[in-house]
Amino acid sequence: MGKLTDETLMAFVDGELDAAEQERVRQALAEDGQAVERLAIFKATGRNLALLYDRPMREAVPSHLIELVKGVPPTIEPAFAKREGRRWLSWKKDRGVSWGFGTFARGLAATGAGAILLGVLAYDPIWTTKQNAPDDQTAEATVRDDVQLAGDWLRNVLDTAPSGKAALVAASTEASNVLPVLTFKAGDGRFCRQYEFDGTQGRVLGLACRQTNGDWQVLKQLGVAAKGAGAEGYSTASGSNRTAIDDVVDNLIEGDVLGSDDEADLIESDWR
Amino acid sequence: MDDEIRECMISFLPRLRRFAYALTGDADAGDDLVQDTCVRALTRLDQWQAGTSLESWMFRIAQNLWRDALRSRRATLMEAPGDDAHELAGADGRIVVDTRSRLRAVSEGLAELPSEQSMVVALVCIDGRSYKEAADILEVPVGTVMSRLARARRALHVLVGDEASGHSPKREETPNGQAN
Repeated sequence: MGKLTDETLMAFVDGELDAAEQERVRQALAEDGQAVERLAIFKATGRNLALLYDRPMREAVPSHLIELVKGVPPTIEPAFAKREGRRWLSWKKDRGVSWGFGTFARGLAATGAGAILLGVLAYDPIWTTKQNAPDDQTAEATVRDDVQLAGDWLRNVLDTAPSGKAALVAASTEASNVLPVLTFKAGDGRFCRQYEFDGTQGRVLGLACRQTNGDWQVLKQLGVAAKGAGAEGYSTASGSNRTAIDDVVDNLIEGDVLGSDDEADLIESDWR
Repeated sequence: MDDEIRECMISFLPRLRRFAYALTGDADAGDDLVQDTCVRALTRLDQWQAGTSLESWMFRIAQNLWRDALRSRRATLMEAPGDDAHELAGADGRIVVDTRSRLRAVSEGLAELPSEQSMVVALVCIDGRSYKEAADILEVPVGTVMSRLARARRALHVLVGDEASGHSPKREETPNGQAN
C-alpha cells in the first residue's frame, strides 16, 4: 500500500482512476494523514476551477467570431428580402432565374463553398413535409394537433430579426444559420414571415404568422436533405424550385412582400 | 463539406472561448486568441487530417498561438486579468467579490506558470478534458500530462492559496508579470 504519489492522488480527485484503484487509494488515505494534506492541494485546484471561467459558456458567442468562421460578411444584403421577395414573386411563373443563379453564385463565392455548387445543382429538389425533418419540427415548434407555435428561439428571431440577415441565436440552440427570408401581410391581416435554418437533420424552410396574442403560428415547415449549403446560397437555390412554402405564401399573401423599411417599422413597434 | 466543417467550428466556439479565457486571463484577449485560432484553422484546413478530431486540432492551434504570443509579448497581454470579473453572476455582492478576487488570483497564478503547465491546467481543470484527451491535444504521453499537471497544481496552490482560505491568497512577492 504505502506510497501514494501526487499523480495518483490527483487522478483520484479528477476521477481518472478505475473503481479498483479508487478503492485502493481510499484505503491508503485512511492511514496516511500526510497524503490527505496533499490531496487537498489537488482538490483545491481541480475541475472546480472551471466555474471561474464559465462566462463564455453562459453568453452567446460574439457574432464577429461566428461570421468569421462562416466566412461571410456581417450583412448578407440589407435589401435582400425586399428585392428577393419581389423578384421571387414574379419568378414563380417562369423558372428562368438568371438572377437567382447570379446571387447563388455570389453566395457561394462569399462562403468559399464552390464545391457545393455541383452538389446542390445535381440534387433533385424534392421537398417533403414530414419525411425529411420530423425531428426538426419538434425541435423548435410546439406541436399540437392543429396549431404549431414557434418555440422560444424562433419566436425571438421572428419578433426581432430583419429579413436577409443571418440572425443570431444562442449557442445552445439546436438551430444555426437562421435566416428570416421575407415578411408579408396575409389576407386575414396577420403578418407572416418565411424563414430558414439548419436543424439537426438539415436545412429547414418555414412559414409562420403572428397571432394577436404574440405567438407565431408555424403554418408550414419543410426539411430538405441537402445539408451544407450556406444560408444565402441555399435560399437562392430554393428559389428556382417551387416548394410547398411558395404555395402557402401564394394563398395567404395580400399585396406585395414588405420592404425592409416597413419591416423595420413593424419590428420596432412590436408588430402592431 | 466545407460548410459542415464551419458548422462544427462554430459549435466549438463556446469551449474554445473558455479555454482561451483561461489561458489569457482576460475575456477580450481570449476572444482575440479565438479569432486568430479560427483564422489559422480556416486558412490551414488542408493541414487537418480528416478522421482526427477537428476540435482537438483547433485547441492545439490555440495553445500553439498562445505559446508563441507568450514568447513575444508576455508582459503586454498580462496587464489586467480579471478586470471583467464584475460581470460574474451573483445575487449578493460578497460572492461576486470573492469569486472575482479568486478569478484574478487564479489567472495571475496561471500566468506565472510555464506555458506547458498552464495549458494542461486549462485543458483538464477548466475545459474538463480527460488526461487522455489532453495528451492527444498536446501531443505528449499521458504520463507527461500527469506529471505536468501535478506540478502545475502544486505551484498554483502556492500562488493562489488554499481554497478553504479562499480570498486571502498567499501570494509570493512577485507582484505581476515576470516571475522567476
